[in-house]
Amino acid sequence: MPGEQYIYAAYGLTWVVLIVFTTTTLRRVRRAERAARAVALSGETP
Amino acid sequence: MTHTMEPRVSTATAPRAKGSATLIGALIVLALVAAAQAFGFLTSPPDRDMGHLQKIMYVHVPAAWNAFLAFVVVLAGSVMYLWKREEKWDLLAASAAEVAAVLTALTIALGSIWGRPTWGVWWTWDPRLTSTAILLVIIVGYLALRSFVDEPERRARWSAVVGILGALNVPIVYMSVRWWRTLHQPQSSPSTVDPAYAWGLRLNAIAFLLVMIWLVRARYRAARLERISELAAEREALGGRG
Amino acid sequence: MTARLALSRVMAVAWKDLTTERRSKAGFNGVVFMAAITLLMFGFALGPDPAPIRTAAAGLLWLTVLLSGVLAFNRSYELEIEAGALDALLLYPGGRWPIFAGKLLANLAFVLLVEAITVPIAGVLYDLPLLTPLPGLVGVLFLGTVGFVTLGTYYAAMASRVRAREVLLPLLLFPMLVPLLVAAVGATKAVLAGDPMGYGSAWIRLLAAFDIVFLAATFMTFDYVIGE
Repeated sequence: MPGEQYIYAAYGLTWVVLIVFTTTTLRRVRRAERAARAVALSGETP
Repeated sequence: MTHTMEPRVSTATAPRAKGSATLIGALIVLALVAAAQAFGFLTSPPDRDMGHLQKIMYVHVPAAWNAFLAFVVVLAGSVMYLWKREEKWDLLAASAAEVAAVLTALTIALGSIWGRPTWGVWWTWDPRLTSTAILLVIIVGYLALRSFVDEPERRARWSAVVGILGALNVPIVYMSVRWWRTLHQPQSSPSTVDPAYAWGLRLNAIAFLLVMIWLVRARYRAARLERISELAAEREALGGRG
Repeated sequence: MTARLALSRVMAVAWKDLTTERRSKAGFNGVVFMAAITLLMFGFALGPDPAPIRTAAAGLLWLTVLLSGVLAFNRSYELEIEAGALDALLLYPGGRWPIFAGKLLANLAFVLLVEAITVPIAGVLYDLPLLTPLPGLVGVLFLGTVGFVTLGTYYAAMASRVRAREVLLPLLLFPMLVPLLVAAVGATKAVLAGDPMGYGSAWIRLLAAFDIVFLAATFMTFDYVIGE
């Protein structure tokens, strides 16, 4: 299959970008949730 | 997405349920992308001119369409913010801009990977390629402005007008670059997509759309939660409980 | 606000900015020097053969204008913010657009003056025939400069009030100026060559459209930028 390496490069790059961006997004959501939860808990104790 | 901006509202239990939902959502949308790609690979015969290189279309074109769509969300969020002055629209525009930046960069890189074996060069001053590159730097400028301004209300106002002016510029950029090219050499005609590839392309575009929506929603949610924490920290610093 | 009052405000702001500039002269001299040195450096970069320089001359000229002009815009707010004068200016009742219009006019005069010195230098250094196409060249320079100064004045209202302003202004401004650069270089090339193919008019129309679109957009949204 001629030009095979370009197809591997394209799909490889796509998946690397998708997985890295998804993971960092999940991490950010997780961190934001923890912070918001801590705030809510400390807000509830007088 | 029904959280109010009031830090007093308890977010202690709700996020946990939603937290696992975001992980599952991520796995589902990524699995759909894999499935759509598998479908594309199995159904598409080698192209007459491009051979198997045509398969790059299934990632390049969906990335491009959704990058553009994300930029439309930036424009819509910016207009809505200036109209309604509600912070959620600013945060939506910002989240969409982050996703648009990544997808635009991916689109350019994929176009370049396809262009190398097809045209023999990594880069050419093709109108669409060049306009996409300008779009990327406009989005990067937008995000840079956001990172330089600390005061949230001012940041929202400023980034909204920068987003709107940037969007206004996109058709002008495209037109100018197209003229620039055509005044030198004839433009290559865009090849219409053969029906054999249409379904693969459609499915991949939909799968990418779902990924895009998931990313914007998740980042929007994170941005809102971050603002809740920030507001609460401000209140604490001011010494009162609101 | 009556038209008369608005006009007098516009002129007052423009006059004030130009007077400050004229009294110090440091800014103007610096920008002119920057433009001259840029023209020289382009010459050295393209080598002693005059042919490639002449081919690229229109592009080099506009890049010189953009790279040196961008130094002027932040100044038009910086001095004011340092002195706390902007807050006072904002206290006046009525719309804020006269502030923008005044600063726009002052910057326009500033950059046009820089060009009046820079373009002849470019003509000498790059061996350009400036006299025959002079009316067309002045028209193209004016149209291109209006669009450049409009966006420059607008984005500087934001950039000059954040940290890292020297980096942020070109980052915001230059991507927006791509169509202007393409059209202005195209038009200048056509004008300098005597426009044998009639390409010039298409580029001039694009320049005019760019100016109108962004004059309208910036005037309509300046309140959001300057307000507190």
